[in-house]
Amino acid sequence: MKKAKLSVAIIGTGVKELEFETGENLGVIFSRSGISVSETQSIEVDGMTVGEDFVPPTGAIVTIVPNVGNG
Amino acid sequence: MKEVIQVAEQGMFEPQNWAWPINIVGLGAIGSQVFFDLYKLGFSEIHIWDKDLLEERNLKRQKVYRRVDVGKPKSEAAKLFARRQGCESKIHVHKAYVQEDTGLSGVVISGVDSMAGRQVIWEAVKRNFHRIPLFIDCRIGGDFVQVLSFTPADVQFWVNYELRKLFGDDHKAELPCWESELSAPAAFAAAVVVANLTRFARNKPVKNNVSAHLGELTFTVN
Repeated sequence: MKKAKLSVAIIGTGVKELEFETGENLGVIFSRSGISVSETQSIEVDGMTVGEDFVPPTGAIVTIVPNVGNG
Repeated sequence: MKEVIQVAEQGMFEPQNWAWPINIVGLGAIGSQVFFDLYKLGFSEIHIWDKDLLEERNLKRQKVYRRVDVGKPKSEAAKLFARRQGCESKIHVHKAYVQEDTGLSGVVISGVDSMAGRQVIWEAVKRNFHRIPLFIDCRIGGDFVQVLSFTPADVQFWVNYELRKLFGDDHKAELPCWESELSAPAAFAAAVVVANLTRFARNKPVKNNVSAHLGELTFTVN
């Protein structure tokens, strides 16, 4: 497997650059990096919501957003 | 200079030539701001949907209401406000919540305050998807705003929205109240709605997911 990088933007916290092996899913990458996603947050890649089983491409920008739903 | 030329080539957006009715579902902080912006722009046919009665506490953060109208249905109070402002748009008042079997036609803009409400609206949108060219779901919480916009006939967005964006109210983040929550998040959401409608009118792809963290002035646009 090859080393790759992605950016994780956590709303309210900042941006982290993470290194990972290609083929790893977000759950594995987050776990190793100490990032936990609560059930009141969602993971988004290119505007689409994904699960922790998502395998990111290198250079991906991952955003962790709060689940808001007021109006 | 290049930017200036590009804008000029696109021409002015003329809402009076817009072919689709606009449906604004929910007339709270977001819906009332969207309604204000769209009738001021001159959209010719606007349907406003809300069953709630106007309360005193709504006056501070919801844009199109007057104290004298407290106790009236919000949809009726909003129309009265617009008429007093000289609005000439055809405004259809629906003193009702959108239900799963509500017949909707035209652009649908949702600004309701619960996820349960969004699920019902989505069911109505799905049943009428062939008559809805654009669906926009605006959400706020604390100083965070998210505006999701897509054509319901687009299967990729349909599936992602239904499976991933319609979480239950028990999975909604409890965010601390932020001082500018009084108006800024709703104003930002309405600005995104207007921008996407003008893009749609020019046959430009809408921005599907615009998120803003206003406390930090950070934005993501996809």
